[in-house]
Amino acid sequence: MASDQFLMEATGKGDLEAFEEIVRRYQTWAWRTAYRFLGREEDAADVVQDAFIRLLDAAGRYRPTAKFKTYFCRIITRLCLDRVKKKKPLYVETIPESPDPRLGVADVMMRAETAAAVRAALDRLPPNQRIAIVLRYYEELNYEDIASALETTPKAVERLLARGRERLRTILGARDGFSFP
Amino acid sequence: MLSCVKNRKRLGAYLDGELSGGEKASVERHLQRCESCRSVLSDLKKLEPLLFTVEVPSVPDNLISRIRAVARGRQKQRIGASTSGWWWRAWAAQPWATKNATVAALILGLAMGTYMGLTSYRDGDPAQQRPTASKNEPLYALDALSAAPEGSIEAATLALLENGR
Repeated sequence: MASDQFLMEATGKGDLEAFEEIVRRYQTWAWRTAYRFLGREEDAADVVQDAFIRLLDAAGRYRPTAKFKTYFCRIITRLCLDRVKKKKPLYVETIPESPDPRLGVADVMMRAETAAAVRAALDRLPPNQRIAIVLRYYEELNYEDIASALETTPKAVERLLARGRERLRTILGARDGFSFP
Repeated sequence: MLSCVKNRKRLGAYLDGELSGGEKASVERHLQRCESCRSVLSDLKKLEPLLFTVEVPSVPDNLISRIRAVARGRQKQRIGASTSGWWWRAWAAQPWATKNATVAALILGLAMGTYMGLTSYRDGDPAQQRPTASKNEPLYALDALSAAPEGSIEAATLALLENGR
């Protein structure tokens, strides 16, 4: 299987098939990251499209100084943050697509309510805290990779995550056994 | 001993496995003695399952085809830009072509300026023309290019100053 670096270099030379392979490999990851941050399908689709096209445009200048995923993550992060600067994201209730058949109706409704509350809480976080939370929890990036994506330091990422977590605890309140000191 | 304030700032990094060996041991010693910080740590651990209640819809069906269409359009533009007007770019890339074009532009500019000066001078007020016309006069028509040609505001100003002395 060709490496990401090889595919990027081929894309830079005009190989569209190489670019389409990159899209196939990273489409789901890019979509998930953008959607979790933005909370709206339309916004996430625009960001993902822009991100891949930027990859295409930059392929001729690409130099593998960092892991490809980190490089792409930086592009997605920048686009997500720019998007929220232009407009306030609206939160949308998220109903599970295929509810667990073992759960009763009441459980499904409660899960949907919890998901909506969490989505609303995420949307209330300042953008930098929100993206740090998304990259840490959902993408399981370490502090160094998050720092690279945000173009900051690991220490700054630690602070962003600490504030983001504290804020989520406060917003979510006394749910599911949360308690305050 | 680590204070609660300092300890709580590190609980996230402790959960994430991002503390050094010494820092981790320090946090664990504090947690053994502090129920309040243990409660905060327990709350932080509950965040993760809560965050995963937010489901993500599938990638939209038309997203990939949209990306593909834009990419192909970009490629066509690049191919078009690289082949059209090739003969012009090949000529313009020659160093002698740039120099000659600059010289030609300068000569043309001077010629146009001279012509405009000549025509504006000849079209001026007949009363201002010199009474003794001679075949050498057209040479002096270059006066139109001077700082204070006849009939100009500058010439009138100079005349006023002269008369005022």
